[in-house]
Amino acid sequence: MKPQAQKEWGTRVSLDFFLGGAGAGLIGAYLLAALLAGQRRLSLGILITGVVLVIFGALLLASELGRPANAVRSFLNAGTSWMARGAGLNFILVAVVVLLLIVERMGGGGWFDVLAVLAIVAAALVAAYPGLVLYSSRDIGLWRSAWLPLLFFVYSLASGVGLLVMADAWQSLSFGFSLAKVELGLVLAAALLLALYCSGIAGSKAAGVMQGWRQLIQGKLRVAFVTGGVAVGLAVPLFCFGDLTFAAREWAALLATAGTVGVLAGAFLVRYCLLRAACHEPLGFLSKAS
Amino acid sequence: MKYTMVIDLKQCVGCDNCTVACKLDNETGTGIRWGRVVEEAAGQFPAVKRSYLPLLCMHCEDAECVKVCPTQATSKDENGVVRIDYDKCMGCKYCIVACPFNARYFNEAQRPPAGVPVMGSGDERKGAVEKCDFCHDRLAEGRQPRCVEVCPYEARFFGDRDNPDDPVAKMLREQKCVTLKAEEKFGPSVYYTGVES
Amino acid sequence: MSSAIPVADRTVVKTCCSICGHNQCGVTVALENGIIKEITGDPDDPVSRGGFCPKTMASAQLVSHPDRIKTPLIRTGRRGEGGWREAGWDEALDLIASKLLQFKTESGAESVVMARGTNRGSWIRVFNRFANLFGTPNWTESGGAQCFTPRGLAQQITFGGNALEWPDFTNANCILVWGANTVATWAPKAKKLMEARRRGAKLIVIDPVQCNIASKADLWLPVRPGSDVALAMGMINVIISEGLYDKEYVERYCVGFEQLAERAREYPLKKVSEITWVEERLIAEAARLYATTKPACLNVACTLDEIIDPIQISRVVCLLGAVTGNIDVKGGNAYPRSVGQVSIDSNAFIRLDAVPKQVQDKRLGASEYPLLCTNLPINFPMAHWPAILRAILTGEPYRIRGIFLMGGNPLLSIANSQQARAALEKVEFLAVADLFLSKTAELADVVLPVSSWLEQDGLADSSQATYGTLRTRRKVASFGLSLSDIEIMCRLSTKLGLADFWASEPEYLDHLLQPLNLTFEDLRKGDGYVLGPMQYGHHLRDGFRTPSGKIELYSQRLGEWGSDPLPFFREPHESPYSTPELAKKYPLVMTTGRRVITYFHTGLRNVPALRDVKPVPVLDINRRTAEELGIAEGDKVAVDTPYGSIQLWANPTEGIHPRVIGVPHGWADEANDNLLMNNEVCSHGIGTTPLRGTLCAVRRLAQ
Repeated sequence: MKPQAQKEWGTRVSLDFFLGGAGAGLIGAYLLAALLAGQRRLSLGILITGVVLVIFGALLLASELGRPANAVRSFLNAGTSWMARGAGLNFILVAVVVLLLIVERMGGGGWFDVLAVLAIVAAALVAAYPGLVLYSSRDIGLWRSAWLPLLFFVYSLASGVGLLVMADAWQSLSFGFSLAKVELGLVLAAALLLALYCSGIAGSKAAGVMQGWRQLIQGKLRVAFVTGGVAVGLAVPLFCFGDLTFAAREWAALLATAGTVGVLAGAFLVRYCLLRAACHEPLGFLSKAS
Repeated sequence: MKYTMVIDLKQCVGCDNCTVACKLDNETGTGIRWGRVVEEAAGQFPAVKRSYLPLLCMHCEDAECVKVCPTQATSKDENGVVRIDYDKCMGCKYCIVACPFNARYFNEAQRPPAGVPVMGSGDERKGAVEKCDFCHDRLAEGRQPRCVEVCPYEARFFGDRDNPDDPVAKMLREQKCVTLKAEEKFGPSVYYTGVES
Repeated sequence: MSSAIPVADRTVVKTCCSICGHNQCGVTVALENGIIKEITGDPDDPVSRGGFCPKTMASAQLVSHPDRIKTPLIRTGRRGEGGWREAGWDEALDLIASKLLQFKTESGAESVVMARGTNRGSWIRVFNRFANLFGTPNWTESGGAQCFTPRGLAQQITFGGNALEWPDFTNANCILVWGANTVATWAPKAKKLMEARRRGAKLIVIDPVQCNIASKADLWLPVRPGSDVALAMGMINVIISEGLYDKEYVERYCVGFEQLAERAREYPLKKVSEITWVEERLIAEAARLYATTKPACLNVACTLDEIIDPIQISRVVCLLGAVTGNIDVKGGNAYPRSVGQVSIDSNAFIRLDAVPKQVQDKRLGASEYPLLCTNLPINFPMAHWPAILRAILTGEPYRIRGIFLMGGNPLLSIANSQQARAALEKVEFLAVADLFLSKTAELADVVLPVSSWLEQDGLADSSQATYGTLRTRRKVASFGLSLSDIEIMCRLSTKLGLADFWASEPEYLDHLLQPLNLTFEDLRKGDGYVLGPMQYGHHLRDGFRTPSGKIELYSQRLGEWGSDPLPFFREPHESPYSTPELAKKYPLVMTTGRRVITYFHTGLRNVPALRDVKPVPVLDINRRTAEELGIAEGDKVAVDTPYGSIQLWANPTEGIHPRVIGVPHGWADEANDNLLMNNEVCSHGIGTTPLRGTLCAVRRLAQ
């Protein structure tokens, strides 16, 4: 029998993973940078943007639920379910950031540091969990690579830091180090992880994986994956942030924007493609489909 | 009690009695087949082996769906039946993505082909994910699952593999019975016999 | 699935399904508070033994189907526009009766055509009687020359009786299925066949497509559609030349063996393999296995009746059974005996005498197709549908003014749907009895609502299924004002003033049972069976009903009719070999009418539980051929013939020859395979429109 494609999760789930990842990446990277730079005044705009991205992603996901009223139960199975963990973590992240902002407005103090660290940890986990949701799907070989959760995590960070680079280009955040350099590093890491992931997948002999891989590089998803994910999503940012890092600062804002748009496009498209290309391993006893 | 089904592929002729009986009994909608039969073939014309493969929820021992369900709507009961509590399901479809046997279906608005009415409701499952429940209602009455009852070709058997005197337990001992995706150790409760190697 | 209803409210009724009408599977219907909950095959049924199919169970959806016709309908507005008004039975039947009598008075009874669909039990013979008492020579059926009639004739000519219809699977050690997907169409037979397999019986299946039953075969012979006669003669040649035939049986019970042997020598393996596209080795193996594994039974169906040379092929299959000594023996093909009820299969019952000879001579098609349309001692003469269509369209040889149609859908089910549509739109008056507004009924002037089998009392007595035993149908539901086919005929007969008909169905049923000193109520209240066990060997003992009293391998009768007394293979009228120029444009050989278990002819596509299992009409095409044409699984494709074009969904498979395709039957609109058919070239003598074994082409469509 032919491997059956995964059909349930598509655009909305990819968007949720992307937006949640970008929001969490933005929050986490910003707070980490702020802490390292010793800043005690936080940008409301950046944090609210991050929270909005996370919530918007979650709402998109909720719009696909068949029975959204039961979503209040969605964290109950955190013992074994990465989606339950993710649901709880999303909630915790938003709550902690809101608390942090309140504490910061009320003057800071000891709670500020605790909440900031908690928010960073929560953000990191929110950035990580979608990749783990996919990785833990035992029957979908396309997702069963350890590189995949790492890749998604790095994409989330790169999305967040990219947004920070753009924010920095419009109104300096004064961290004291080059965000563009960090972003370049993250894009390089993403490129490396994608290459490692692809080389593992390309060599797989599992029927479902092969069918999915063919979709990515030859089939309907070729444009989105190769042109979108790889070319636009990696090559363009590599150029932009490389230029920003090593060359003169002409058109800095433009380069930052172009680079970030590229990273965001790539972060979304790669997730979308990997969801859409995913196939279950075939069912049956007779060896070849006929 | 470990409810178990054994399907004899040598006898299954692909008549779809089981598929249709299940649809009628459970009032499932367009595109939803808790039980279904697929065709398998191998070889090249004219030397072709062809067989029919009934599929349904495998009620796995190590069920992926139970693990991933965020709301704990899906659970395995004391007799090994994997059950869905529709009142708890939020319809996220994670279980469908996770299921190795493509056994689960999302209940959404029906769109039958032109000229075909929507009949039967399945209304209590709207917006939730549904699947074969081993006819646990009938089991409680001492009856067999519907698909087993309607098979005229003696291709389906059902019983308790924990009871050594049960005919199904005997079949598991005496015949070569295998499960699908056995290497992955999901622990299906549906076994197949008469499988061409 | 609610278990809230207390078990005490449950009743179980035994009855017999009649969805396909042929099998009459015994079932139990479980009702809760009068609502049908479950329908299940009854393992205690003495004939069907628990065999049944999905259509039986899905019949529950017929009883509550929103699109069923509840009352008689009379057309308002123009034909085919869909304007109807509800009417009572009296008004509708009065209208039909007045029209039919008007036509009879003004233009002769022959201006009225009485048509029906396929066999669904004894009402088909009641319909014959109805037509004859009315006086028209022009009764017909959609199947007719394409269904049973040719093989019935072949069996009558060879055996003097229909032995092919009753394979004794239960005692057979070898089963030869020729052109039947027994699983899809004869569930109780398939059940017994598979039981025989479990017992160790061998199975040989001859079918262009590796269908359900073929998948279980020890040997599958994918014969080129239309070349079956050559294959069968090739097998007979192997059996005779290798001395594998039953010498004693042939000597005692057959005539013409030497002549047959001589003719068979013209069919050596190499030649047969080239003609049939089946490997030599496979043909020889099948012949040897069949001849040496005894007893062996033959299982055939109407596919043999749908090719250009239908009588010949069934005859050769009969001869296979004869030379191997498998006719009228246990485990072979045998003859059930009737339990003594009034026989419906007789000219006396159908009152053929009620139609004067000079009127019978006017039967449409009589001059061209005497084997179908004239009164031979061994058939029920019927009119030729293509001739009827032409008469409606041209007025030649005389006008056809009205059609009374029961349980049929000729717009979809007879060859050349384009012509059928033109004729049905043009005919002056069309009355249709059906459960739904079929495509044909949409064109009618009056539509009568017929009840489903769940809503009828009756006798389950399709002889092909019942093997002689009488069984009972018990009503468990009602729907609107619908009536059974027989009840409708009874009431209409009263309106028409027909003598020697019954006023109501219970009268008819009691009439049938009279020789048994039973009434229908007795049967219905009892267990409902009158057992007619299989009996073997009485023709061997008392002689076969042929001129020689023996099995006629060489048929005197055929000789008297001007045909060859021995079988011979003729290349189909349209084939890669007989019409190579045509084959350049249409290179593939087509078998149509592929059966699917969830449907029966043109019906049931609107039953949700069935449609969901097989939602689209599927084309079987060889995987390599599909690749060459750029066709992937599930692609929308066109099938073209010189006569029309249809749309199907592709199923690339290895289970079919690269130059053959399999087309399904009974779908409407662009998927209707009768749009591909020619109805002008018909089989010599019997008038079969050749539905299988013709040429076609396939191309991928824009998706």
